[in-house]
Amino acid sequence: MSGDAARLAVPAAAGQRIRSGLLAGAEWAAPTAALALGIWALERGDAADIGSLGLVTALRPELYVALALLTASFLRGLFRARPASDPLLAAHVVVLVVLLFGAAPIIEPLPRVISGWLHVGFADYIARSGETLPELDARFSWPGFFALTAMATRAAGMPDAMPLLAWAPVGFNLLYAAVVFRLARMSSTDARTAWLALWLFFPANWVGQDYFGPQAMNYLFYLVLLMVLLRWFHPVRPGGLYRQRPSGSPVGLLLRLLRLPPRPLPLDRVADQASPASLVGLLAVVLAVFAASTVSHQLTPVAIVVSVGALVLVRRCTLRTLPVLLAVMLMAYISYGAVAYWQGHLHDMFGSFGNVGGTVKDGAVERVRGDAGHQLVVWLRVVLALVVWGLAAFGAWRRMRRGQAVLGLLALAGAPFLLLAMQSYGGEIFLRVYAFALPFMAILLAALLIPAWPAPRRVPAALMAGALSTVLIGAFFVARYGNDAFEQVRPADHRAVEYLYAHAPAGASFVSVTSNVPWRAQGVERYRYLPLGQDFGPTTIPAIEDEMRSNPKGAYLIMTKGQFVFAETFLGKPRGWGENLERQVIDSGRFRAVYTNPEARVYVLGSSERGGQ
Amino acid sequence: MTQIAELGSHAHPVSGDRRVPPSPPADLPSGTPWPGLVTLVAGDAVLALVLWDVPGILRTITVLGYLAVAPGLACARLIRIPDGLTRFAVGVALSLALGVLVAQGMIQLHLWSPLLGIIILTMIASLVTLIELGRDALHHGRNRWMEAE
Repeated sequence: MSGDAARLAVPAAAGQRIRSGLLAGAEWAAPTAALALGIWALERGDAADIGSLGLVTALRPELYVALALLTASFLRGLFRARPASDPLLAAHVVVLVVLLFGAAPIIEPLPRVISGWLHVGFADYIARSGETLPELDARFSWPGFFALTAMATRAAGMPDAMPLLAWAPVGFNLLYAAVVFRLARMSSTDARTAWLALWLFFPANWVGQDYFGPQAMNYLFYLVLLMVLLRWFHPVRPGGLYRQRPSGSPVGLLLRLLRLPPRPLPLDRVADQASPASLVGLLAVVLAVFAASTVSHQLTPVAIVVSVGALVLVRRCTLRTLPVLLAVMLMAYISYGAVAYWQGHLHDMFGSFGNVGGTVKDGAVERVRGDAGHQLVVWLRVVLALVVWGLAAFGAWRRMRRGQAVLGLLALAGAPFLLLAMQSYGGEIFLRVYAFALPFMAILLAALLIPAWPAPRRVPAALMAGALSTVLIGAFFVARYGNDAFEQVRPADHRAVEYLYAHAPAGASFVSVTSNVPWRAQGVERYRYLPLGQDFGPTTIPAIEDEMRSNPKGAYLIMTKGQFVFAETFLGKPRGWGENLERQVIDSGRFRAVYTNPEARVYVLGSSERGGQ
Repeated sequence: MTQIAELGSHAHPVSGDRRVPPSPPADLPSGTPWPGLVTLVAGDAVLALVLWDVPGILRTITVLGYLAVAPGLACARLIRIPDGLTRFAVGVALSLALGVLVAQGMIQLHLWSPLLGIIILTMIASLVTLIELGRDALHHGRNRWMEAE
């Protein structure tokens, strides 16, 4: 190169670098702007606007603009010929998680879902006493999460775990993101599939089991355990499933019927190599994580055993005896550590075994109740689940048409459905099955759209991905936050509960007409709470009075707007039911208000001073 | 730039038998002692904050962050889990699992004490880190000796 040419090339190269820098800056501007606009919109949402469809009625249109910008930017980065960098795509996913799962903590003044408040109370009891109360609540028979919370919060100098409640869903979902991406990446030959699977996973994860509690931590255990098995204990040479089948065999006929290649699944990954010492360490990780799951949640270890069993059954796990070992660990703990629970609840544990019809009735049919808004929410959830499963089935078919491995994914996506034959889990089993299957369904769902090469097919694939993202994100706010009319914790209700704890003597009864009260975050053992484990408390004046007189240490009746909305929206009581009941309480002349605020009152009996007789 | 267009490190389709080959073995020493040293220092800092009962947000964030990450991540490094994302995910899950087992163990043994719990977890993290550092030092020493030979 001559001297003149070299002198000319220097500014040209600098200009190129500046252009590249500006372009990179512009790429990062989209998620940054979406985050800023989304948070701005959420901060202007008003919890008072939450209606029978939940949080969605309190959202500002600017939030949807932010999500549309984010989606367009993500899909553009994913589907263009030279894809965006991994950190940029990851930033889009993080912003999506913050906007989807941070919506409630930004809009609502207090952490939602009273079950999370109760978990704080359980941890508080353990922190104070160093013991559990399995006779009080079944969850104390699996106290691992509460014990960990008690230890960690006290060591951290916190009075309780309340500060962790609101943002726990965002934190847990970011952890899930790392594992789901790694699972998707292991199962796909194209990183685009993994990114799209991760992107679709979050709006499809409307189940709401990521609030502060054992199930959220155990979901992480479930994902990590399966990831380790798939990555390091996958067979080097899967067995006979890869053999050429005669075309006349039943499997061969089925393959022809589904228009699949006669030798399916030829493309499969094999396990990562590791030294024997590392494999022993990884097995120890699996066992430690499973042991922690066994002592901290009822359902997740069962789901793990079923999923690992399915992997072994389809020869995608070399640890053939692992399901047996895990099942023995599980039964050993239940036999020893959960005696207080199963002694009186054998029917709850095994009564619905094999009764799939009853489980479907409990988990789906009977959940369609309450007012019109709540019924719409439930139907939307059912439709969303069916759409995700249906599209995932198409994605699996498309993967098989391309000759890609799918058997392990199908086993993991299908295994949770076996839980339907085991127990109804208080009518929640459908939600749990959906959640356990979702990561693998999302990977199959992404396979429906990617790869979409050659280049001319990229645009329709990107448009389809955009349409699917729009539908899932739009439906997410209704499906996930659809119960927020009663799942939000109202500050007025909370103030009334604080009054109770500040004034009630130990041993007094706290009576409410429905269970939707944000209490038991402290003093779980110090007071008698009614109702406990039921939706309704006493709902007639004589029943309320009898209940309150039955405790010589005193009793308080708390009536709040949260209870009334729960009764009307979820339990199907007519509009004004709670207000009418409270009017009867006042008109009876047998109760005296000791605390009032615009949305909550506390009553004691007759002329008693502090709830006493 | 991304490696998105390439095939994953553990998912390379190969013509012929079209079987995806494995990643190369990842059982190499970690190379840098800094993560281990940071774990040791952080463990001491956490214990100091708890023992002196230091109030404030610094203690809250440090202790919770340490309990959520350090013990499991130390084990994940010892196992030589290759990529950072997997190491982090396994590390967090294992930290929580160890925390659960230690806390519940204290309840079962009627030895409940948050201080004891954090001492046990700090010891686990520090011990595992010392083993990792010792192993790596031994490996580097052997390499240098072989190069000198």
